[in-house]
Amino acid sequence: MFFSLIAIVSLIGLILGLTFLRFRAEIAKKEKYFSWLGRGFARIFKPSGLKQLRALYENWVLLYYLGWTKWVFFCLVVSFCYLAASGFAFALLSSRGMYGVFLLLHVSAGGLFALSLSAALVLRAKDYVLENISKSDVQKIFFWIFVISGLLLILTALSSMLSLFTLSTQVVLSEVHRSSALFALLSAVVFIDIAVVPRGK
Amino acid sequence: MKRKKLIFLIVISLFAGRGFEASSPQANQAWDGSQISPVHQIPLKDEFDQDIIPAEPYPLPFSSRYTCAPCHDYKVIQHGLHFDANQSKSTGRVGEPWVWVDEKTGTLLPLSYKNWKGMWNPKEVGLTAWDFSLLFGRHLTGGGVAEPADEDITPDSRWNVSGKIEINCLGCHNPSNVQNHSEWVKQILRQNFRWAATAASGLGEVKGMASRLPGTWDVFDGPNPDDTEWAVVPSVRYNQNLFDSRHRAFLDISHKPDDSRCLACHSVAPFDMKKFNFDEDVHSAAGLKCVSCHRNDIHHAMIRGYEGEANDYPEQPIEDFTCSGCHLGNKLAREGEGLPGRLGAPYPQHKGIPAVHFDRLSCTVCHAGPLPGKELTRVRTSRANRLGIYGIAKWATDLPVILEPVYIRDKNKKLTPHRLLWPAFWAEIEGGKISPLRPERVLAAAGEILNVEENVAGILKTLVTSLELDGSPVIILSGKVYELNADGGLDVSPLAGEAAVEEVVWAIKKDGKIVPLIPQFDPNAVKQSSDIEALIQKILEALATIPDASGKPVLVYKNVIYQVTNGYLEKTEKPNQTVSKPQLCWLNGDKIQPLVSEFERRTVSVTVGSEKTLTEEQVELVLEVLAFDNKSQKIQQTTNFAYISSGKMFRLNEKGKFESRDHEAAEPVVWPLAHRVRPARQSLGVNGCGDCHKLNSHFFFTKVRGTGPLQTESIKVRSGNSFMKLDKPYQLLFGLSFAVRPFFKVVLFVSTVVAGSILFIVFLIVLGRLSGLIERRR
Repeated sequence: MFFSLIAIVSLIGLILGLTFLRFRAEIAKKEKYFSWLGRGFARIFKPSGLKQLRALYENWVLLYYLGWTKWVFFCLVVSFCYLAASGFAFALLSSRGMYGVFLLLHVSAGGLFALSLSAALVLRAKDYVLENISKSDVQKIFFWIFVISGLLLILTALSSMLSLFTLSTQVVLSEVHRSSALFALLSAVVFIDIAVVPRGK
Repeated sequence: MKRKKLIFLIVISLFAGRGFEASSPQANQAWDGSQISPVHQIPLKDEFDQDIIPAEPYPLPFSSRYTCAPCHDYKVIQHGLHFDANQSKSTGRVGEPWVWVDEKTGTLLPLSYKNWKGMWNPKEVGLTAWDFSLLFGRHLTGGGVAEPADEDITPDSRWNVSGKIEINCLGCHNPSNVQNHSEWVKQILRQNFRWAATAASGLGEVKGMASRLPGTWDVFDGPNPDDTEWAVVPSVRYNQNLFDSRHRAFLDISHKPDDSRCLACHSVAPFDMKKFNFDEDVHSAAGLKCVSCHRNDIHHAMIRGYEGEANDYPEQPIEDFTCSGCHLGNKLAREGEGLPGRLGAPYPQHKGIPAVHFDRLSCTVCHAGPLPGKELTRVRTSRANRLGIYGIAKWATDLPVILEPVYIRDKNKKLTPHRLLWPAFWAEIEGGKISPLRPERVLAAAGEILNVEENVAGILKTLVTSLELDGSPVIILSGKVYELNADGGLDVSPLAGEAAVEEVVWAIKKDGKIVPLIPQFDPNAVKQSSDIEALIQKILEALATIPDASGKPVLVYKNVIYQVTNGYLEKTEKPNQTVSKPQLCWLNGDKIQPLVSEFERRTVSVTVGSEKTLTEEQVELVLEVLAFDNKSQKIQQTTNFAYISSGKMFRLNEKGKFESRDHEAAEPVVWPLAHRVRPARQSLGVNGCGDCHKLNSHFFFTKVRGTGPLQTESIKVRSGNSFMKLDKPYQLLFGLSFAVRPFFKVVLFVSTVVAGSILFIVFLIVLGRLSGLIERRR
């Protein structure tokens, strides 16, 4: 329950915060924030929104992930999206926890995520090494938060499959897994906001 | 004047007795803190609250109601778990049913006074308290249904003769090896209800049989000096060594009953297992007693120890004695933290077992009962299979077939291992409502259809008793030898050393050798051996004594018929007849029928020596006679009768054709099991996830085949997952995923090493740059 509350508040808070910052920077004060947000959200599902997404893909993904390596990025995004969606949906909406086909897919997506994350690191880690802690390095910091969270996610998943840890330790591992997932999602949102969304004024 | 005095004394003593009972101080009896039990050197009282003087003539048996009353409130104890099944409104977790077993009619009817799924209330099937006590008194503790209030006594009962079965306190609290459960059973069957506790405890020897006394007899009538052979009035001869000079008896009372007392009614063991192979429950092996966990106070509301019991019995501090209560220290129903390790319970580590298992499975899934196999394990229980009763006759029965473990979700939505019983009974269906038929009604309607074994055994019995045979008579049918057993039924063995013969052959078995009852002879010989003719005459005369025979006994051989007429052996020739071997037959008018009919032959060859006591042919015939309308002298087009066995309902359809179908009433009855708990090293999952999660998992996909007394191919088969309400395809897929799990672990491990190494290197680089050890990039 506590985790659900934290997850909902932090996610909504982060999304609202990021959008509000952009609203304040880009939009004339006469317009209302929530109507702007609503229109922006609706735009995603219009043909123009799809065009924007495609442009984003061509301008950002193909720029940084050349040739076959785009598949690494693709796998990372797809697996993470499914993991986050299924994980949080069950954590927030079901008292029973994850089960059934969703669980099988979650586990499979977890394997894909682990592979693609390590591959993405091999390909892109050098571009995110911190030079100094400055405002320009915020994106790199969130990249590394995402990587550390992802690593914890993999580690805790692996640990729970080994006959090494007692029940109470497993409960802790499960909590760490959930928290890492939340951190990974939050950091991914910030990273995408910084890296992908075009800066305004 | 003397009479007035006597009446006055009686009235005074009655009031005194009442007053004593009313002022009984035990309802809230407080423990003084001493851990010893008081010595019970106490006066025994009879059911009229009078002191028993063992040496006086015709003393009555002791009454626990009055003997124990000065210190223990009988009325409080009467509401205990073992005594109030027919009165209590609280059903609690499902328990083992009483199974009404009648092999002849193929009845295995699960009964319970509690409203538990699939079990029939004895009242619904017309069983009175008297019937129930007679049927199951062998394993009743007394009290409750066996001690009905006067207003509940039905006219057909004989409580006035037998007395009521008071709570048998010594049945549990007498630790002496003299306490004899078999004696208890014997006394109950003799309807010596009021005497049973005295006899079973060894306080006295009980003779006589209330069952043979007329229904008008009353305990005030005393013994009958005119009959010391047959209808002997039950009487007690107390063991006077147990009494002191003040007529106080020494009762060796154990406050905490020994396990053997509990196991008299609660034993469960795998079918066909040798005793020396049997491992007791791990708790017993560790030195705990049943009552170490299953505790109670004077209320005798035994702690059953299941999860959620506290919700069923909120007044009891119950949760302490669940598995997790002792091992983990969970006090789920109470505030605060408990302490694990109660009574030395080891704290389980459960290494590598995902936490979800503890939300979805009860502890007993992995730790109790047999490990899941390809098929379920067959067990016998004390109450269902009449275990623990010893005497000349064999008491234990193979039926009912009880199987375990099937895993079913309990009220807490946790899978829990259960025992399972497929019911079998005859039923009447009215307006969609199904009501079991009592075996007596089926037998009355079925007539000879269900008496096949008895009929054949009856012929053999007649030959044994009427002829001076040099061996025991047997009948050879379809290559098998059938002979009489001690219970008056038939035993079967293969016919050794000879090719199977199709004809029915009556023979004599001696020292393992079988010779024909009637040796080969030539019936057409001019001079016949007088020995042969004397033997034939004796046999025919013996057969003529069989009551309700199908005709006159005759011997048919070649073209000759032998029969006894007016005391003489008469020989008649029938030119058209050719019988190659001497055949004993019934002559009915002009019709000659074999001694054992084709129907009997078919039935005996299937049912004798088998647990299957009925054939489909018999069931069809019985359904026909049940459906026979006496008015129209026809079988009703739409029959309202059915027989249930092996998970199927057998009926005659609209066209009168015998058919089987699924029906809710044929579904198995289940109840949870908790023991035998295995050691941790033998628990399910100790070998890893593959104990349950694999493609052909016995845990999920064990085959549960319908069982029952009917020999049939029409059997309900279910998979273990159907009891769990889990999808088979998904569980197959999930099981399959564990085959690739090692590879998956390698993937995760490699990913962790790669990602972790890069992270570590980056960390070192950043550290180096911050410390100036590495130059920053421009």
